[in-house]
Amino acid sequence: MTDSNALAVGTRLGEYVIESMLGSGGFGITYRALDTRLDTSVAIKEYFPANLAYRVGSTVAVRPDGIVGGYDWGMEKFLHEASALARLQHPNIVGVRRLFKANLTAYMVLDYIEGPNLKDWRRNHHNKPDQGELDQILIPLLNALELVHRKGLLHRDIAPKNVMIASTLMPILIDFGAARQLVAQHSQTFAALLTPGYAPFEQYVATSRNQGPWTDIYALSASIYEIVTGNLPPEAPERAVDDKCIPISELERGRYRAEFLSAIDYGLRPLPKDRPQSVADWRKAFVGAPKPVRQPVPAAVPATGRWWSGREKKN
Amino acid sequence: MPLPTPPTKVWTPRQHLAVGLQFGDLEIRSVLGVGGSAVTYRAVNVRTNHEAALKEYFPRRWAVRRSDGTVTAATAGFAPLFRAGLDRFITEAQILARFRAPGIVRVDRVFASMGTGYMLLAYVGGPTLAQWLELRRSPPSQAELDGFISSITSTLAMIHAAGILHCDIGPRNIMLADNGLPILIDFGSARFSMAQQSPEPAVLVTPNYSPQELYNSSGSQRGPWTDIYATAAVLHALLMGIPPPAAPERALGVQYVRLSADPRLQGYRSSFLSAVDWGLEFLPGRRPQSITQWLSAIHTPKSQSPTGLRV
Repeated sequence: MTDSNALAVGTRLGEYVIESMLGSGGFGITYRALDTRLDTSVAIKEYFPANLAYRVGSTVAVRPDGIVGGYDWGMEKFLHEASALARLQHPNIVGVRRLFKANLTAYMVLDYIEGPNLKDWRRNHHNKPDQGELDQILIPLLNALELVHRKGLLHRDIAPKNVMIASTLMPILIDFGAARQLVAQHSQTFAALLTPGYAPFEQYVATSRNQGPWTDIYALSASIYEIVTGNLPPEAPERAVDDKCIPISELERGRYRAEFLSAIDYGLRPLPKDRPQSVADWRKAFVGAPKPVRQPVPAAVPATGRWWSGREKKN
Repeated sequence: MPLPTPPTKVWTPRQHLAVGLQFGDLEIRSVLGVGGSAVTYRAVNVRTNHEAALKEYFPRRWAVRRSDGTVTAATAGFAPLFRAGLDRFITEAQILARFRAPGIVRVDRVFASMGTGYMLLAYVGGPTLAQWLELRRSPPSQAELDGFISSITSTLAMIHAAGILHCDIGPRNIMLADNGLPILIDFGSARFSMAQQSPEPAVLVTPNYSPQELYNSSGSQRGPWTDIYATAAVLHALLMGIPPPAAPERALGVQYVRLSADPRLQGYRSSFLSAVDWGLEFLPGRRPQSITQWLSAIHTPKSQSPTGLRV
């Protein structure tokens, strides 16, 4: 591997030995490693914000042009979210085994999950999934998500690539959005760290103010929409300009339960307020409870210009 | 077993090239700026003693600099992105080279070295509009704005006629010449092709200046109205001291307050204020569709002396 930022294969981290790199993103690198004591595979996620850090040997250093405070703050956030994730304990959420700091960064040791992700599962599955399969995948995910939200957390990046399908169709949520928000805030040019097509409107705003359970609900709805219809809904910013999203209840009418389809459309409404506000709300929609009508957008506070704080002024 | 104890923090002396380094006939004199995808240096031609700006392709997220100064992709996974970005950097230089106009920074050379690409640009001594805005305490007069706007719109009309959209107009990408007229630097369309191929898609926008259509990664819905929105947002910043709310905020219900209805702006031509409001319409289809259409609404007086903002 010629990856200059990733730890070399064979690197020891305590009792773990790096076996391969599984992936690298904007703020972390994931490895497959061997737990030499338990003689079992684990996944190790390393905090590594690529725009703030670089590697010297095994050690991570903050770039001189990076923001040290941003790096440290992000690491705290990574550890905080990791420990919250560790406390979740749910069969459909990836298990956290351990957290530790080394190499001036932080590591999260996770269960290594064999099996395709939902995206590959769909690709290998030659027919459209049937209602039974969808229920088998979706219901456990709803339960898992409900727990996540009850603990005050959000996943923030639900997409088929982040749902592993273990044997017997058991879905497992992976890759929680630790420290994601931070990196966006510290970028000079705002980089919305999100997956287009799955991310709702509110994730394009620089603050997390408008995010909530409805944010994950949108992404999960978009994921179901995709694995059923074969297409992703248009990206949220495009929908804000010209909504060309064809409701799944029109596309798939008659092939799946009507309540199921309309609940997916409910989760995909563009504005956060129009979507189910909680998993509990959403679950009711799957069994046919009426959905609230769309609410009008609220009026906003008028801005005062920097040069016009007082009354009328002449230039 | 205890984990290895972390060593003390290690810092390389620089992410940019060493001052004093010589590249053929050029010598690096200072670092002018470090952006998301490039580092700009002040360089001097040692033969002619001429000052120039040397822009180096250095995408922070994807690149690292080795101790000998050469640049490489930070990870093997980032290598295709790094190369695609480098191609765009060369294309950007070629685009700039097509336009020898006072409103666009002049490019003299483009070359490969140190594992990356460089373009040699005319040195513009003036501040960026962002720096200028930070120092100002009061809005510019209508006459200053008219000079500014007729210059930037004629530049945009020219690039649009050539089928190019700037797609990243904002105070950090506009420099002011000695006469206060705007010079567009950084033809940031390069960013878009990179964003599309990102393994972890990143939408690179300038909040408050980028219209809604720049937030999608598919590249759809863009046109002359995209640059018009951003230019109108710049004019809003000049008039109010702050830019309009970010487009996604507006999508979520934050309202845009029309300048033409603001009693504090009575000293300005009402057709001008309405034209800024028009350019800032949320929906692309409701904005002016071309610079010509927009200009006819702005009613810039003819026979303007070629001066812009007071620098």
